[in-house]
Amino acid sequence: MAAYQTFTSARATEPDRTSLLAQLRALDATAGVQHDPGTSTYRIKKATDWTGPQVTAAQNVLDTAPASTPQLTAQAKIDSMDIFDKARDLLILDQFNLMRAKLRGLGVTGIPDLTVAQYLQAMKDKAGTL
Amino acid sequence: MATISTRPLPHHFAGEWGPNQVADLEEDLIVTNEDLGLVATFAQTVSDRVDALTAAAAKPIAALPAGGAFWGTGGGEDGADGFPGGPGPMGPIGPMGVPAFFPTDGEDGIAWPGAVGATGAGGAPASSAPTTTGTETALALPVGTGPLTLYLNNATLLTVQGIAAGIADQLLFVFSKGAGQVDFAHLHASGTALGKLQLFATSGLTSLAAGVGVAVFQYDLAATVWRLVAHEQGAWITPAYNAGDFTASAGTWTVDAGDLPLFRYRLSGRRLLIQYSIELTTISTTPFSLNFAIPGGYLSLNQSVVASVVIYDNGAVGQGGKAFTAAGGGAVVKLTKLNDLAFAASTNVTSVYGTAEFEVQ
Repeated sequence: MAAYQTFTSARATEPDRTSLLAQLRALDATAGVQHDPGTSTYRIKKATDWTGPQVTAAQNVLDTAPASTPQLTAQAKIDSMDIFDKARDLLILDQFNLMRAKLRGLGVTGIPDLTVAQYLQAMKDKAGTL
Repeated sequence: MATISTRPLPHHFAGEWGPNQVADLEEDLIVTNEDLGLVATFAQTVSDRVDALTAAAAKPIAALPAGGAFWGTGGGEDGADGFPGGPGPMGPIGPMGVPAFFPTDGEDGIAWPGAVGATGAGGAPASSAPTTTGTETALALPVGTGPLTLYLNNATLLTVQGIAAGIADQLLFVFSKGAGQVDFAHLHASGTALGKLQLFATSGLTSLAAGVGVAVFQYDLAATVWRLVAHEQGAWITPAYNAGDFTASAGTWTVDAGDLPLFRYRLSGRRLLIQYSIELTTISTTPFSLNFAIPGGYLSLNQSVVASVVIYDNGAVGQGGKAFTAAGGGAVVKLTKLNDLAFAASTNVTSVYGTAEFEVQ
């Protein structure tokens, strides 16, 4: 039985959608949130009835979740990259690893292949600095 | 005017007048038969001249011959008076005269039409306020031969499949007055044969929102149906929640009752408008479309993209989507992403928002 709870937050910034959902799901894996930017209300749904501590914890998440920024939005987009973008980027990674392998063959050390996870995390880290 | 002289006086006298001269003059003034003949000849000449001038006057002025006096040439003496001159130029047009009034009987004229007669006494109007609920196959009417009015005061849903027979061309006004919605069914098989309802939209119900909707029917005696003349739903109608109204092209799309903060429709003629906010839903797998049943039970008339959609797929940042109806009597509205990719499997985080407008059968 789905259970809904409506919250109000006095925060002055818009929360980063991905971060907010991740933090709420840390409280309850079935949690989902609906919020219209520019409003102060949040509607959270989860599979089981709400308890008092859960309400308090959720309110805290709503009030403190990081604010939406272009950097966070870009990082979220990297996480949900579609196949076209991923294919383009991973092809570059393949070529890069090929050059690294040749360099290793020439005796250069300290340049192991980059994994896909490392590559994508490097992209996210870079986005965070822009 | 000079005295007409037919012959020169025999005596020209330049001195003082005496008895002899007077006697001579008296002799000269004696009129003889010869004199009378000359006078007659002269008169005839004058008459001829006058006739000629009269005839000339009837012609346009420019064609008139120049008039002029004809002077006599008697040897040194005054000649006879000439003929009168021709007519002068035509004078200015005078003021219009007052029309003459002839007090005689005229022809018989056409008479004015008579005054429009007063409207005849119409049939007696009548009204009633039934509280019946549920399904009516022959909804009772108030007794009257004039326009009828039903103030439906049903507390819960009333579905009307037929109405008792009326008289030819009789008007029936139906107002929703109660707390319950009123639904009319088109030519429903269960409706009375003497009063089925001929509606605009034939594939679904035509509704009156509780307390505000209104409809007008007119009885078609030849077809024994009540024909819908006008309909105003009165307000948006939110259909009753039904989990089975929400499906996916693959797997399941779970939409709980609380996932529908807004889901309503409005019918105008055959134009159906739907507003929906379907949020925090669950998708079991990766379907390419999410579907919801057209509320009111209508079938779409054509296949068409009917609206744009905002989709939050698996809680991700919003993206565009489209809604479309199926050809040839589709019963659902399909929602897809603009990029034609599948939805992600998700739990309580996929939302879609939009409006849809299309023609129904």
